[in-house]
Amino acid sequence: MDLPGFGNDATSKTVNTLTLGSQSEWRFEVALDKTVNVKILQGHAEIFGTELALGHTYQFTATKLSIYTWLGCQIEWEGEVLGEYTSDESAMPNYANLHFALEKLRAQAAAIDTQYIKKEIGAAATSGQPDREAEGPKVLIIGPRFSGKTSLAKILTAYASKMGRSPVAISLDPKESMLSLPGTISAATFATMMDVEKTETWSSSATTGPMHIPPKNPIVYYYGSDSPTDNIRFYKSVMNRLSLAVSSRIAVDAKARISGTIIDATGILDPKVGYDLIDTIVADFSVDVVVTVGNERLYNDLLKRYNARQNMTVVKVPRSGGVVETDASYLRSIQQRLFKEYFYGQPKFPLSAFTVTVDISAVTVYKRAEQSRLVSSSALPIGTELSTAHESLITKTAASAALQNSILALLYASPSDSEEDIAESSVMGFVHILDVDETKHKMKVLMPIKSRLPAQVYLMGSYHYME
Amino acid sequence: MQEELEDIRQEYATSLEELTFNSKPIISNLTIIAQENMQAAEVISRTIEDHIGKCAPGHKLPVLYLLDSICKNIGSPYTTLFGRNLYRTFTDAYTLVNDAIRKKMHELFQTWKQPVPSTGQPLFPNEPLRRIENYLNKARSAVLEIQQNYVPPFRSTPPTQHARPAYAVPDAARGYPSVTAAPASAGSGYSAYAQAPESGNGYQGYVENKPAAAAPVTKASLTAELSTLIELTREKIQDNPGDVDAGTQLSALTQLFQIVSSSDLPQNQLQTIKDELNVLAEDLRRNKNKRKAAMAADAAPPPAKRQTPMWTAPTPASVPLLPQQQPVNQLNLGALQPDLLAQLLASVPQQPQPQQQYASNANALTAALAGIPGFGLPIQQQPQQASANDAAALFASLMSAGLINAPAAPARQNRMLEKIMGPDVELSNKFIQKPRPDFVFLLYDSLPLLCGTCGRRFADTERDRKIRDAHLDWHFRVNKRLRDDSRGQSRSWYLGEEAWIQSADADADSSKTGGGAERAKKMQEVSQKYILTPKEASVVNTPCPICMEKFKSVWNEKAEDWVWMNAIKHSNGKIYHGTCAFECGLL
Ligand SMILES: Nc1ncnc2c1ncn2[C@@H]1O[C@H](COP(=O)(O)OP(=O)(O)O)[C@@H](O)[C@H]1O
Ligand SMILES: [Mg+2]
Ligand SMILES: [Zn+2]
Ligand SMILES: [Zn+2]
Repeated sequence: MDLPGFGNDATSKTVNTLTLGSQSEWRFEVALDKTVNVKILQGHAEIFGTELALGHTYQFTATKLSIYTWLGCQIEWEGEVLGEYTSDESAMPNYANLHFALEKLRAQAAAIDTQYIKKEIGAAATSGQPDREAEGPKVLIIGPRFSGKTSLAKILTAYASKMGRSPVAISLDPKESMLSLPGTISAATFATMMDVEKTETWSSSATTGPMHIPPKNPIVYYYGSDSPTDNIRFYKSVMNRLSLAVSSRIAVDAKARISGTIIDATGILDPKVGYDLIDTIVADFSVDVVVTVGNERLYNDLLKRYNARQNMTVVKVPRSGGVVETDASYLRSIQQRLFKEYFYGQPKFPLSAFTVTVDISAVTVYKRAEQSRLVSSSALPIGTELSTAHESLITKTAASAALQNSILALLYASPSDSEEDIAESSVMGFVHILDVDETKHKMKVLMPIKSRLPAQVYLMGSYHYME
Repeated sequence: MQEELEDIRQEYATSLEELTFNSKPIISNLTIIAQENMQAAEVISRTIEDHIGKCAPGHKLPVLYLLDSICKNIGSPYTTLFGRNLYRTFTDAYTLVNDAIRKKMHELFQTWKQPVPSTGQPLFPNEPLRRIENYLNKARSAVLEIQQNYVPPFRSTPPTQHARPAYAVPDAARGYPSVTAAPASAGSGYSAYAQAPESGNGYQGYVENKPAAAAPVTKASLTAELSTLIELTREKIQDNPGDVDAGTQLSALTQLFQIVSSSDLPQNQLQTIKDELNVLAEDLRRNKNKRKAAMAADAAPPPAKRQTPMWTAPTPASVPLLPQQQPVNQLNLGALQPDLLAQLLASVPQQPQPQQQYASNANALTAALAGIPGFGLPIQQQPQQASANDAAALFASLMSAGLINAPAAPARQNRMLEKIMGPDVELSNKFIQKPRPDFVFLLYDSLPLLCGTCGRRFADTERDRKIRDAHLDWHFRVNKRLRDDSRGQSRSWYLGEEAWIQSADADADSSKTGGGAERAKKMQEVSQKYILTPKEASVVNTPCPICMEKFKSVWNEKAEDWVWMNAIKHSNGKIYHGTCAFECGLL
C-alpha cells in the first residue's frame, strides 16, 4: 500500500546486490516518477549492446530495460522498481550473430571502398587503383508492435559503433523518437557510444555545452502525429526527404557508407497499407537486408515478396521474452516526459529553457493538410490520384488560441518559401506555446535556447504539452 | 556560509567520482581546489575520507594518492585533519584491496614516515603513523606465522617465484606501473611520492611477507575471482587455440560461475572452491606473465612511447581481483576438509610440464566440482562429458574460423576480422540461430582497454592507445568545463540538411572534435570574448539584440579595465553576446 507520507523509504534505501550468470539478463522497469540507481560491481554488463562502466552509478527513470551479461556480472541497485526479474533466456546471442553477419558485409565494403581506405589507412594504400565506392548493409527491421524492433536496432547500432563503425541509425516510428520528439522521423550516425541513461531517445541531442557522453546530431523531419496511417501521403513525403538526406550523407561520408544503415520501422503490418509502406521504405532507402522480428507469417510474406530480388536478403530473429507491451496511456506519459526533457533536461543534467513574448502576427504556422479518406490509390477512380498528388501537403493556419499548449516544430524554412519547399524542410527545433492572448495579440512561447523567436515557419502537429 | 560549504562538498564529491584511476591531472586539479578552498578544509578532508571508505576497492588507491598530494603540497591544516582519522582511513581501505594495491599503499605509507624537508618532521602526527605501522607489522607476522608452520605443496615452484609478485603484472601501458618496472615516469600519473623507492628491489621483502587474508572468501569475491579466471582462460585459448584443456576449463569455469552465483553455498565450500581455483589461478597467471614476456620480446616498444599515457589506470581484466594466497588458504582448508585436501593434492602434478599441467588442473577442477557436496544437481545434470563437448565445440569453431593456423601473435583485431570473414559467418537464419558466444568473447578480447568513466573500449594497439588517451583527456576537459561553467546549458538547434550531410568529420570522434563537443568548445571560446565597456550612454543601455538582455560590466585584470564579458561587436555595428551570436549562426 502506498500511504502518503509513508513513502517506500525502506525499499528505496535498501541496496540490493544481484549476481548474473553468464548469458543472462536482468530485466527491470522504473515508473515515470521513480528513480533507480544501478552500479556494476564486477564483470561485464551491457544495456541494449552498450557496455556499462564498472563502478559508475547509472540512474534510470521511466524506462523498461534489460542488463545483459555475456560472462556474468555483479550488480548493485537501489530505488523503487515496478518489477524486476532475471532471465537466462535471451535473444541476445541471436542478435549478436546477426551483428557479426552484418559486420562481415561491412568489412567487405571497407576492403574495396577506396575513399574509405584512403581516409583510414592512407592514400598510399590505394595508389594506382581506380576510385571505387562500396556500401555496407542497409538493414530494415520489421515486426509487430512490441516485438523489440527498436531494442534490436539499438543493439545492432551499439555493436557496430563498438567495433569502430559509424552506422546511420534511422527511426521511422513517429510515436517514438530518436534524439528528438514524438511526431518526428530522424537519422543520425552513431560513431560514439549511446547514452544508456537516455535509452528512450537512444541518446541525447546536442546542448550548448559539453556532455559526459558525446551527443548525437540527428537530421529531423516533422510528421506531426503517432501513426503513419494518419496521413500516409505526408508520411511518405517526409520519409522520402529523409532518405535523400541520408543518401547525400552516405555519398560524402565514407565511414558511414561502409557502415551501412539500420532502420527501425513502425509496427504497421497489415498487408494493405503496411506492406505497401515497407515497399516504399525498401525503395527509398535501398534496403538490402530485411530482418523480421518474431513473426513467422511476416517472415514468410516478406520472403516471398523480396527473395526473388537480387541483392536482397530476408532473415528472421526471435522476439526477446523481455519485451514489454505498454498501453496508450503509458505512451502518452512517455511522450509528455520527452517534451519536458527536450526543454528542461533530466534532473541529473538539467537544461534551461526561456520564455519570450511575441506578437501573434510575427508567427507563421502551418499544419498538415487533411488527407483524403481513401488511403489506397487503387480504390480511387482513375485520374483522382493525379489530382491529389498536386494538392498541397500543408496549409497555413492562423495563429490563434487554438495553438495554446501545442508543440510546434520550427522548420528550416522561411515564410516566403513555397509550400512545397516548406513541406520538405527539416526541423531546427521545437517551441512550446505557453499562452495565447488574442485580445492583446500576444503569444508567450517557450524556447529551448536563449534567443529571439526565429522568424521561420512553424509546423503544428497533434501534440500538446502541459507544464 | 553553511550553504557555500555544502556546495563545495557536493562539487568535490562529484569530482571525486572521476578519480577512478591514477590520473595526474585530476589529482593536481583536486589538490588545487583543496588549496583554493582552505576555509572548507574540514569539509573537503571529510569528503575525501568518506569517498575512500565508500568507493570501489579498485578506486581507493588514486584517492589515497590525492590525500597524499594534498598533504604534501599544502600541508597544514590538511595534515592535521587527515591525521585524525588516518589510521581508520588507511586500514579500512587496506583490508579491502588486493595485494597489488596493498603493496602500493605500503609504499605510500613509507613516504609518510620520511621527514618533510620544511619541518624535519614526518608528514602526519606520530600517533596515527605509529598505529598504522603496528597494524602493518601485525599483518605481516600473521602471515609469517602461518608460513613457518606450513610446508607448501608446490615444491616444484622455483623459490625465486616468491621474490616476484605472484599476481599477474599488468604492463605499464595498461595498468599500474608494474612492480618490476622502473619508477613511474613523471609524465604518467601522479608521482609526488616518486622519490620513494619504486623499483622492484625496494619491496621484495614485502612481497614475500604477504599480509594475512583479512577478508574471508565471500560469494562476491569468489564470483569476482571466477570472472577473472574466465578472462584469463579465454586469453589463454587465444594464445593457443589448440589447447583443448583450456577449452574444457573455460566451460567448467563458466559453469562454476553459474553455480556459485546462483546458489548460497556455505562459507567452507566457498573456501574449498577458492582453494581449488588457486591452483588453476597460478597456472593462468603464470601463463599470462609468460605471454607478456613473449609479447614484450616480440615488440618491445621504444620507451618513449610508454611515457605518453597521462594515466595508468588498471583495466579490470588485467588486475586480478583477488591476490593469490594459496598457502594460507590451503592451510585453512586442511583443517576443515582433510579428505578433500588429500584428493586435491593428489591431483596436483609433482613435476609440472606446462601442457600436462593444464590438463591435470582441468581434471582436478572437474573432479572437484563433482566431488563437492552441495554441488549436486547442476553438475550431475551436466556430467563432465558435456563440458568437454562444449569445449570441443568451441575448439572446433576456433578451428573452422581458421584461427588455429593463425600466426603466433597476430593483432587481436585481425583475429576478429579473420573470424568474421570465416566461411561459417553468413547472413542466414542458420547462422543467426545457433548461439556463438565465442564471437563476442573475441570481440571483447580484441578491445581489452576500457575507459573507466564511460565503458568505451579500445584495442591494445598504438593507434587505439592514442585514441584512448585523447578520449580520457576529453573526459577530463568535459568534467572540468562542466564544473567551471556555472551558466547551465540548454538544448541546441538541430543541424540543417546541408550541415548534417557535411557533418561527417564532426561526428567522427568526439574525443578529438565531436559534434556536440566541438560546438561546446566553440561556445566556450566565444563566451570568453569580451569588449571594453562602451562609454556612450546610449550604447551602454542597449541590450543584446538576440536575447534582449543588458550586458553586465565587470573588471578585467588582463585588460585592466571594465569589460563586457561574452560580448562581440559584429560587423553590422551591433554588440551581441558571443554565445547568442554563435547560436544564431552570426559567427
Ligand atoms: N530484453 C528486454 N528486457 C526488458 N525490457 C525490454 C527488453 N527488450 C525490450 N524491452 C523494452 O520493451 C519495450 C518495447 O520494446 P521495443 O524495442 O521498443 O519494441 P518495438 O520497437 O517493437 O515496439 C521497450 O520499453 C523496451 O525498452
Ligand atoms: Mg519501436
Ligand atoms: Zn570514456
Ligand atoms: Zn544575448
